[in-house]
Amino acid sequence: MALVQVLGRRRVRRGSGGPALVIGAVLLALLLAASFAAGTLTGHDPALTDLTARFRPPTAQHWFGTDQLGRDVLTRVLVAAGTDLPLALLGAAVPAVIGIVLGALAGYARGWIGTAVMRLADLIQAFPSYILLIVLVFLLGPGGGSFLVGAAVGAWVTYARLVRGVVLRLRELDYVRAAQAAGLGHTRVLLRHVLPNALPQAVVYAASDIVLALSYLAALSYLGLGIQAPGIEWGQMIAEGQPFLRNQWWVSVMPGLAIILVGVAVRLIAGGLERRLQR
Amino acid sequence: MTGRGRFRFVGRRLLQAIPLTLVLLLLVFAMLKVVPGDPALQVAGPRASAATLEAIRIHLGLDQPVWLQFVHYLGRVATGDLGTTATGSTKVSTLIAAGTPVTLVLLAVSTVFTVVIAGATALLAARRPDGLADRLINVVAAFGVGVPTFWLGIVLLAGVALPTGAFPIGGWGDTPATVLRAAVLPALALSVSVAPVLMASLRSGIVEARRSEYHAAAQAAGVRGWTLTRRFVLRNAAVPPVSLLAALTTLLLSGAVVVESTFGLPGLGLSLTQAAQNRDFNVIQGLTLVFSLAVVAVNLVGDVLVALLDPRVEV
Amino acid sequence: MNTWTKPAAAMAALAAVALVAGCGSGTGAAAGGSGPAAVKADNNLVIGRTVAVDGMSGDSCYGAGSISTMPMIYGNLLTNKPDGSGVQPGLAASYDYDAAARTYTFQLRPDAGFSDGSPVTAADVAFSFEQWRDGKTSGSYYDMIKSAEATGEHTVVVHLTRPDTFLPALLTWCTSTVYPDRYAGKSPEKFFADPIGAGPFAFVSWQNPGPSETITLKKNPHYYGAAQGEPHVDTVVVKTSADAAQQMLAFQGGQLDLIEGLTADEGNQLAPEQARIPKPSQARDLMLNAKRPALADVNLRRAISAAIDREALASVQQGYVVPAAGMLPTNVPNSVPPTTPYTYDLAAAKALMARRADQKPVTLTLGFEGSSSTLSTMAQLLRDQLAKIGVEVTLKPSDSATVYSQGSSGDFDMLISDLSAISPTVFDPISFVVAAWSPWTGADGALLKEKFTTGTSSTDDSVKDAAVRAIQDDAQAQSTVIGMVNMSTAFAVAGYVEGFTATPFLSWDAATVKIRTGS
Repeated sequence: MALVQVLGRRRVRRGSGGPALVIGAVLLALLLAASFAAGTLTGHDPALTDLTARFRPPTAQHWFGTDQLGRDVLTRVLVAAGTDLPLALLGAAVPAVIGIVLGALAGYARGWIGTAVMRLADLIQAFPSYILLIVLVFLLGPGGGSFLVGAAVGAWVTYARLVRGVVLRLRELDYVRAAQAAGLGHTRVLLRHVLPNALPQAVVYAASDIVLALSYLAALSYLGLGIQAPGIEWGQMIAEGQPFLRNQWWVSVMPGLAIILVGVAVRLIAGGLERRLQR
Repeated sequence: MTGRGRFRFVGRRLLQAIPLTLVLLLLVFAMLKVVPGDPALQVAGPRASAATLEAIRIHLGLDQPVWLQFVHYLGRVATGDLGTTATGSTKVSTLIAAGTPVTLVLLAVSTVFTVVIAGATALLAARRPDGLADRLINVVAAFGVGVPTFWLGIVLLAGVALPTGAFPIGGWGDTPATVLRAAVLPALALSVSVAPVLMASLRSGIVEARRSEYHAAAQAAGVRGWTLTRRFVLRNAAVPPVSLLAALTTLLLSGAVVVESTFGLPGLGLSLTQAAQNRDFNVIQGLTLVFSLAVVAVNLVGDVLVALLDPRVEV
Repeated sequence: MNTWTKPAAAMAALAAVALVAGCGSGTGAAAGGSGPAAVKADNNLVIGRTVAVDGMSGDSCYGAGSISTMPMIYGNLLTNKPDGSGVQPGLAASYDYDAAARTYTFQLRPDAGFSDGSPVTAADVAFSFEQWRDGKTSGSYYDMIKSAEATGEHTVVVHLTRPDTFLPALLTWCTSTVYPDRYAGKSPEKFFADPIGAGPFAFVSWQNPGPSETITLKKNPHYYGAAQGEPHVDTVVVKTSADAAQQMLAFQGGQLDLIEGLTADEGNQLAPEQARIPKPSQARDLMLNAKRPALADVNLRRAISAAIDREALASVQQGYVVPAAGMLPTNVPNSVPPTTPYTYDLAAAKALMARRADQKPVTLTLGFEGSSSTLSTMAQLLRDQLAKIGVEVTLKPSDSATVYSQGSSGDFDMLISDLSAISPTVFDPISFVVAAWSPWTGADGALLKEKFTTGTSSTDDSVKDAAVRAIQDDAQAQSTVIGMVNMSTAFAVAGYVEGFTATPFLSWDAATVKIRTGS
């Protein structure tokens, strides 16, 4: 995806990328861990409706208030992280793996296979990614699985082009030729030489793709095409809370802030990784 | 590159687009075969008799071999016949004709916003790479990318349109003035997510251009200030973003689909979302075709532009 | 990059504060032109709704959008009294029912005119009766009509196939749209693309038909109320948007003057005087598909009914909704409750579960219209309630058209759907149960049909009431259609709108509405 190609390539002065990476990773890990222990942490059941406690504003008892069914919003925001984060991570990782494999294939296999992969890439790029996602979800029905398929079909192209480029460059280099002459198989050349060269950029792409995948997942769920109730997801929570925006703003504002938090955390990780890998 | 060379490049690029377009059509046609449900049943309604269904099947040409159906589909597309909506009240082509201007205006205003925001911030950021402004802009850009567009839309409606009364709360206008007013907030929401991409590209372009020999030569020749920026920096810095044109377009189009739903703008994106929610097959098919053909066209124009702008492109 | 984190955190905090402040500020007091002093700059009424019209012909009228719009354009022979107590004259000044001869005789107003200037004559009305009877979609409602003849310039005699007292109510429906004779010489397609009617407003345009359509109407100078200055507003613009929350904001921002189909979720965000809430007269029912193996067992169906805590369902829509006693809408003439109202009894429900022939665990899908926030809330509550008797519910939100097609094709386990009276007789919603819900759910419709015929051929209220009670009791015994709550179909109305009366019938008289323009 285009976003990452550019955003990922900022050249700031080289230094230790450590803190940013650590802070970002810790943020994400904390959120993920909190999602699994949400009920214990907050003392509330995310699905428990309590009609006597509807629309409580944020207080010490309910930090993020309660929603239209009296459910604790903080607990639900945390539990939703357990849906959103894995899907966003997979939504970035699956196309990356597919793209790397197909890209390597296209780079190595000259002739029709390579051509076929690259033509397929051209074809996929003719569809704006989110539109492709909507169409695939339409064909497959709403849900997390459809989202993953849609994300995978749309996003592998960037990785394929990257890896193919690296393969094409490397295969002309002396040491790779030497390796091949020495009888190393394609797979080993791929693992030893191609991947290490392509990986840094691919990881940076993927890290930024997480943000895009998350915003697409949330947008789909917001429109009723992604995760549906009783599943708990940030976009779906925003949609549920939208009628109450004027007087009970917390119901839909809090999940929105969670998405931004993830965006910042991932940006920190991406920046940190880039620095580390480019050194 | 010579004039003839350019002509030949454009011609070759056009020729390349033809098979891609055909495959796209095939793919969109194939959607009909993949989607669950009998299209004849959709036309006839659930209570139709077997005889009625068969008659409709023959009428729709569903009894013919698939390749012939595809040829007929091509024929229908060529004459602009994309079927009707599920309720039968409107032709899909009418829907597309009505939605296209809305989406185009939204895209145009968003493009202006994106270019202005990205251009200004890139110039500011590139003035002193790694300076305070540069870092701050980078932070804001990260937020811009991270904020979900639809959520920003809701917040703009409730937090800006409602208290100020300066913008319509959802919906479109019917005169140029009201249309532009209706486009401002959605375009802003859209630009916030796209501008950072262009900004980053422009910024590095400017930094590179400043370091280049042209720039040094121009400075040495006494060119200063805005003239220097415009003629020797921006012009060169614009080349990488232009090659990003296709990518930016797909980002903008994706964003437009989201924003149109949030703001209730009667464009192609809202139609697409509603068709997906209402499982309106013909509309999805027609819109997929329009969107993908638009991207192919933009890619074509982008490549040609790069060839014309950048003398270094080999053809 | 390490310098990056501090500003990031600061920005996050700042953004959060700004957003919260932005959303939380404003009380909505000034919005929507509230208060007696409010005025509007122009004399145009802008209406917001979430349901698109079903088309421009009366025959296709089904949903709330058309129910409200058709009378504005076409006018009806009879109309509803705003309080829901009966019918009143419309294009017809009076009517007579001759039970012995099986005829209705209508006397038309001499001063009614179509929007093209031609007067409304008996020939037009006789032609319209035939169109209704022969309609592809709604024709079956009119099967009591044998023929209609114009016996004078303004006199129409309708001959019936059987005794019938339902016709006057039927004539107020959105399907009973009066057309010019032979569609004014046009083909039906051409006519409905630019229709001519005798209602208070004339058709101008229908842009972007579908979920985000805009319909524009202008004053019909030949409307029969013109002598009293009706209609008062110059233009009516109907803006449809699937997004009720956004419509609410547009109303609060003064960009909509009136919202139809206001639910509790949106209404509770308004100042109290802006919400007009008629008595609850729309039943929200749960259909159970008895053709499904598990649901073929009446014990499961009754257990589900007993496990529904209707008080709890109603409590989340306080002020707009009451718990249901039976499956039929309340506050409609001749609507009587069943002999014993529904009671929430978890122990009884569990006992019924134990009495099932097949003791396999039950998993059922629940279809409902997902874009409605009140419906989503109700579906989630229902899921929790049924879990208590071991019935696992999978929620299946979709759009209204899909819900309808799931029902009509029998492709559902459980379906939430609304049953509303659109005219002042409870036999109007019952007719829909007879024609649709009863066959959809695989219920035994024999008693229902018999009592419907009894009730609609009598003029005696006690006979009608007894028939309705028997229908309610039968529905409870079979439990394929289960009442959950009765809802008000409310309106949001800006302070400068005068002369608006909320009716319980989804339609309302747009001719009497005035806008205070300050001049």
